[in-house]
Amino acid sequence: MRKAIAVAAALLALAGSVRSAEDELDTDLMQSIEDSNKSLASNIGIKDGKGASTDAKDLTEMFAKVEAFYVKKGDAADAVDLSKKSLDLSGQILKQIAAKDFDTATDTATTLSRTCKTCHNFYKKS
Amino acid sequence: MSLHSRRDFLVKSGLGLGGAAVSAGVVPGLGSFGAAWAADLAADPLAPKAPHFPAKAKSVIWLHMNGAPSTLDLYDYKPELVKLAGKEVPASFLKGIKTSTQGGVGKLWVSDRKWKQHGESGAWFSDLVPNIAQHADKLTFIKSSVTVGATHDISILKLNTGDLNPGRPSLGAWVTYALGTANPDLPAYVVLYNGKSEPQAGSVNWSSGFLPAVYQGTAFRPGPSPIFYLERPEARAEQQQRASLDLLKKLNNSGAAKYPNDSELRARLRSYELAERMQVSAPEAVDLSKESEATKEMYALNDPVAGTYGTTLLRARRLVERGVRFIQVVSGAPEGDTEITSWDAHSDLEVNHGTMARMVDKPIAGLLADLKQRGLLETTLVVWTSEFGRTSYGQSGNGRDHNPWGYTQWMAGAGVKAGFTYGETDEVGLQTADKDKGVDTYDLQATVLQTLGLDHLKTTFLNNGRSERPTVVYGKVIKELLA
Repeated sequence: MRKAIAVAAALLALAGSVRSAEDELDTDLMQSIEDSNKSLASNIGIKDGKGASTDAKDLTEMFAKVEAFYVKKGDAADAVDLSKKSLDLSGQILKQIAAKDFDTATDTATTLSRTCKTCHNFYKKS
Repeated sequence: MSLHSRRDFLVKSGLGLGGAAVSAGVVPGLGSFGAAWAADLAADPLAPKAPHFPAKAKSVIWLHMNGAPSTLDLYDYKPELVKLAGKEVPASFLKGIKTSTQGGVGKLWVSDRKWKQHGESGAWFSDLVPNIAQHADKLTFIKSSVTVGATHDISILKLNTGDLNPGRPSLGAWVTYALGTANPDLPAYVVLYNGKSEPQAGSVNWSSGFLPAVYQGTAFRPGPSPIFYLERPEARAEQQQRASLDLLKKLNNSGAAKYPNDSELRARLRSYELAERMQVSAPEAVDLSKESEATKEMYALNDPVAGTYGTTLLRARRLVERGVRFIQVVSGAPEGDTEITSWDAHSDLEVNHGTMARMVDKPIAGLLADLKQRGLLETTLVVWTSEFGRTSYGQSGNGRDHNPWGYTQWMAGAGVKAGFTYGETDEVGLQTADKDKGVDTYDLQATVLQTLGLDHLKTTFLNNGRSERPTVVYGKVIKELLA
């Protein structure tokens, strides 16, 4: 009987953690976004088109995942808008890097960083 | 030129070596700068460098109000807060913020203030700052300041370095790295404070971080000898010191040749040379004995509460005159006051702010008036800043908690509009009213750099293969603030 209770408790705990993981964005994904964003700013700064392009592509894929998460979540219109905006900015940066327009890419990357911060400062706490 | 003759040259030229001539004209009070010295600086990390575009400001005085004043009780008049005082904070004002700071959310609270509009700009000031109020038309207010963090040390670090963790260069270090020195006889970046000990948050706030160590700030302590161990001990003859320093330099040069990337060794080498020159120049720079009584009165030097802070600001003006690029002034506490150590008023705000405002009000007004009358305000940017503001809801019955969501800072002088206000907080002064107008520490830094002729996006340093800039990956110049 004790064993059965312990197994049931473990299953409940596991189910709870799966459920909470579904409610929250993967922290590894958010950390990867932060790392890629810093790398992107640096690569644009030193005009490394290849490195910057890789970072921007990675960000595009990751922001697509973020947007899909919030669309599925259903009650986060602000977060959907901000992730869409981030996705769009990543796409713009890709084009600007391809055109070797690093000055504009720097401005756009800064706007992208500010968008991330807006989401963290305001959406996350509302 | 031999080392000895170079030193002679420095002394005989009456310390008139205004390196600012290279990038920003001749330093007031100093001569223009000699060709021999210019050649010597060519291989020098502190050699003057040209800005990205013409600078409006030659120097910055960064007035950090340590402990975070309640700008709601100084500059941000909120009639609605007066009406709602004693009531719970309406939920609409709390939307989007996490109020997990100490003590939770109390009822809306007002202190016993009288408010008045001043100047042609009509800016509001409380009765706590009647002297600063006289300069209303010199100030440009940022009433939509925002930041991150709820603890002092972390937010002070962000204010100065742009990060919540130690390791990044402070703004003054970036400025020194980007522009070099304007006076080789003094540090380009000086930190001043009033009080018995160094500011609590510590030297990490004037660190050079990953920049070479030569760009870090030099703390000048209060008193006639601003730098520890700078004076030659009485028992030691000048010749003895000379021989000892020459030997030390020879050994350090030998080490530097073996380890050319050792920036700390190079910084040490420079600091020995600078220290020798500063044995004369630093005490002179902070010696107020030749200042007139009227000037001393202007800075409230004879006031028991404001005297030490006034002394600090008068020193700041003298450093500006001598071409120091960045002067970071950390407010301490009035002399002899054992209860109040900073602006941090979680309780007894009336008592705390009554004292702290009295400590800074007249000296800051004096600084603005003095810079103006000497023609220095046109080339000096004064920044009144703090790590965050304080809440419109009360704490402990008569205090306020930390508020990173909406508070006021101001700038005055070179490159910024005068008699202008940017942004606003909501009706109770808790959050910025328009999030798009939020001015974060990165934006403040980007704007300060702009006045110095520096594009924050192009002020970069390669650290371990990564391009770094003062504003990390953020920062926006608030163009509306610029003159």
